[in-house]
Amino acid sequence: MADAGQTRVADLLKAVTRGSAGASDELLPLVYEELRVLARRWLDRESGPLTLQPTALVHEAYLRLIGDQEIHWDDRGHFFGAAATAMRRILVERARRKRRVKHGGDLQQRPMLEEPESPDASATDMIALDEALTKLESKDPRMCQVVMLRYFAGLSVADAASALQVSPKTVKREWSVARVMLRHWMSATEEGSRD
Amino acid sequence: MTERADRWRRLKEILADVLETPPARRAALIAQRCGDDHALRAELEALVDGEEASHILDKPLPFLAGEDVASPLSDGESDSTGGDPLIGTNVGGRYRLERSIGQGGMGRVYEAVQDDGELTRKVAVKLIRKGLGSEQLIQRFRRERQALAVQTHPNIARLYDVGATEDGLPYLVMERIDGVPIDRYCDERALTVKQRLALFRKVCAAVSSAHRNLIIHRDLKPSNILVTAEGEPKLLDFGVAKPLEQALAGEQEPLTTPAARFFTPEYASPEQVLGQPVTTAADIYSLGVLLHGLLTGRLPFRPEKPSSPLVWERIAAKTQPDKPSAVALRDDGQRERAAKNRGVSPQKLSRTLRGELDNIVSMAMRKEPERRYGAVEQLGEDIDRYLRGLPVTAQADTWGYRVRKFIGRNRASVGAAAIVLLSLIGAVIGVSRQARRAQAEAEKARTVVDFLKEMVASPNPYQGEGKDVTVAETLDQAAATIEPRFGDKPEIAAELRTAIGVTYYSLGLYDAAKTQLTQALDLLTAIHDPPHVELAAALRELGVTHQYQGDYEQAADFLGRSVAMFDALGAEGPSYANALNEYAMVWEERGDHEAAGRYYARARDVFRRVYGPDHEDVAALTGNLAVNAHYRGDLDQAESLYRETLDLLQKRYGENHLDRATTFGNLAQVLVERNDLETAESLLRQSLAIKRELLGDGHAAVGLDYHNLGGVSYMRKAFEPAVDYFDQALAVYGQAYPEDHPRIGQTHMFKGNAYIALQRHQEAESSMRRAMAIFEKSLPAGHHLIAFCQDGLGASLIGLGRYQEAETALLAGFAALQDDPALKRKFQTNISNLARLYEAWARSEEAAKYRAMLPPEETAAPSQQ
Repeated sequence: MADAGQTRVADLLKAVTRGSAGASDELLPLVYEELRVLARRWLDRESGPLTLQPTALVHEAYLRLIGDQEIHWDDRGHFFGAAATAMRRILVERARRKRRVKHGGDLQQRPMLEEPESPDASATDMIALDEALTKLESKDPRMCQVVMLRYFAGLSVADAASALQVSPKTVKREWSVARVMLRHWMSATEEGSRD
Repeated sequence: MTERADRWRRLKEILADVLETPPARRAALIAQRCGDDHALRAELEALVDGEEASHILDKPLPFLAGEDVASPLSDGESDSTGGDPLIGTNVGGRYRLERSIGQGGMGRVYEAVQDDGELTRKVAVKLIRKGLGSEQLIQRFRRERQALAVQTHPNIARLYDVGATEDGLPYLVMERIDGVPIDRYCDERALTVKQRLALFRKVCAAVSSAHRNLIIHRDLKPSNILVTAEGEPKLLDFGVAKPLEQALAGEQEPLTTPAARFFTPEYASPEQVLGQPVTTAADIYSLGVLLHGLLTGRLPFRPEKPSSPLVWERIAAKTQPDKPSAVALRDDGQRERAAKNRGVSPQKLSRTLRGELDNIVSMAMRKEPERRYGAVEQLGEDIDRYLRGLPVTAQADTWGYRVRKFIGRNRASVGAAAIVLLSLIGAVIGVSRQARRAQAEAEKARTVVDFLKEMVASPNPYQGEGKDVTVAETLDQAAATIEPRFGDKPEIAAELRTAIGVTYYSLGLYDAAKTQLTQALDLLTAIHDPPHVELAAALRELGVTHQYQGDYEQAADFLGRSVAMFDALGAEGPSYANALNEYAMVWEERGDHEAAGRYYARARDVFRRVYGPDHEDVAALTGNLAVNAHYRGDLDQAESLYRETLDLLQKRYGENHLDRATTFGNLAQVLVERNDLETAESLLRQSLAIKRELLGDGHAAVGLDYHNLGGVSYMRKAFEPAVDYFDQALAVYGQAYPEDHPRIGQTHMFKGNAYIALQRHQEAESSMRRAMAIFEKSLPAGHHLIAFCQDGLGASLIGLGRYQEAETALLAGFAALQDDPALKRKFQTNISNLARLYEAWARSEEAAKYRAMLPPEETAAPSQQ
């Protein structure tokens, strides 16, 4: 059963699909805030996890913002697109914060007991990825979307394909090309070279 | 379209094609597609180079912590108290809500104080969310509560009360448990695997008690199992899920989305996910998932998109979980931390889980409810048995067993499906490569690979009468499809049968392998006239199958024909060299080491010509030649070949490689035989250093080196250092083996011998008795180690003057040793010990009798000890 808020989000998504620019502007902060609130709630729970897997969060947000309303794949694609953008922003902000702490030589930094042994993308990588993605978007918006949906929203190949209305094969091809191009640009930034 | 955009499109298209092409063919494709656009070509080459390297996109997103999501707008405001109008209100007139302690699918949980004049206590109040409230639901809760109240269990949180608020929202009042979820509890205290199992055992007992009252939990997961500061697990929410589910089913029909059901997909049984009837077996499954998590720190299934019901249904129907021991080694960024939380290295954790614990988890997590444990109590008993070192009742699924055999032989450590796919495709590619395929042939190979991938990737979960789809069944299915699909294409059919046959024998299914390979050979015989390279290869595979099966006569026949055919073709290549190597191995098995040596040498020559002098296969063959010389007793040649192997391996892999460690160990054995004990010791130390570096200090192979170092020290009559080495071996074995492993017994026995030599008879007796206790538990009666140990025990007892006991032990050893000519040396030690005993005991008649049984030169020596 959808409540009023859920219906509102669904309407917004439909509006985005229809091409209403204002709807898109309204949707993103909504999703962004929902992700934050949801994450806080999870993290505050006494018996909850100490840390939170971002893509699980995106899907939780989907359930909360859309519920079990039947919505079109186009609309769903916009939702995940917005969620991926929000998640990218959250993670890049976090990375910037981390890097500041590191480079600022903050002496009060605690021993990193809670920090896993860097299994995931490091702060530096995240910022470089963000820059490379911006570049990719300018060259090839759809390829950038593939990465956003797969990486930041955690969609499977099949779901990303439905969201973008392309074949899974296309998603796979774009993903594999994006992987190579992004790495190339990221390492180019690192080395401070051209392009 | 601008030129720039056009160029990007072109780059992207070619790059996508290139990335779909196997690495070996990429350069050619780039060249072909770029034509004379050299800039594009250079760019593509640079892009593709290093494409395999690790990539940020392959890593999981960083986990979020509190500060990452602190909204700038609501700083300082905690969502758990602020803004909730219910805090401070009374529910049902008796429960004052103090603070929110949780939020779940069914509603919100509060800590509350019950104060009704009679009783003041802290309770947990669960307010069921709007939309679920109904008088019916409350009735259902009441019924469950009555059932639950029939008996109380100390590990189950009580359900005190059920009611409705003034607004008609149902609420549950439960025992307030001050604890942390079981997984967090275990990690925070870095509990060992055994401690975790003991805790899990208590959970099983509690669930079992509820089951006896016909209450199924339906949502067992860590957050529903809290552990108190006293270390007692407490199960929450018993009897809650079912009424809620029924309420939902009544209101929101039909029950379509599992997301709306009250279970947690990660922990839910397949029957729950698939909407099938739920029995107590569902809880057993969830306990299996819980156990998996407690053991490995990971969930068995983590789909890319957690919330999608379809994904979970697919998993529930089809996906087999990886074994905990494999998960422990999975390089997913949590490996080191998970192992550390259990106080061990990932390798050690994996070894601990391998086998019985794998089997227990897998038995609890079978897809079909009826194939799981029959009752939770049986699961609990298996945990008990494991903790007490007894064999568990859980058995691996057949495919697990078969694959392990294969892995054991190949010392590989990859996933089963990966092995199968790789070996299938490897077989095809191997065959293709050796035949130097042209375009059409490459096409054929691709058809074959595609077909195999398809067969392996899409097993039909419904075939095989509800059993797990096994690798073998997939192969059977593939084999059965060949005739209808490729009946008119005998080349492809032959190639497929060869690939499937090779995979069968890697799985230990020799008869099935022979059937396929024989059919392949027949097909090829009809196509090609001998001698032909494909016929030679098919003969070789048949020979190898027979060899694996232990039928060396047949193996020699096929391999001999294969080699002869390759010879007739003037063949030169790895396929030929492999045939020669296999043929040599068969000769070795048949005891003709001279012939074996000749074929090894020929195989090595071919490898050298094809690959050059430093190739890994040349190193491997040099190792085989060394072992062969060792067998032949040519110690000089063995030494020089072992040293050559060491050099080759070093060139190839650097200092630290396990094969080098093994070779050091073998070379040490040569030097022991030559009585150059000092050099042997230094070689063993080199082996030890490599193994410690690569395997860690807890690995059985490290223990073996310590044990051997102890043995060499003993032979050098350096008895005190020997005792130290044996102690180090025991420390390692204690981590690597269950406590009654025969290896541990053996080291205790050797240590006992060193103590005897040191005249420390008390300690010697105690070591021997420990060894004996282990042997009696772990070895069949009449095993020669038991006889050795009886002899050693007797010797220590002579030293202690306990002649009666010594006599019993030595005579038992005598009885066991006298008939086996292979144990002659030990038998003579035993006789001389008996002679010594009776001399010390002043029973000269018996002493003389045993003395007389000794060959003249042996008479004097042992009595000095």
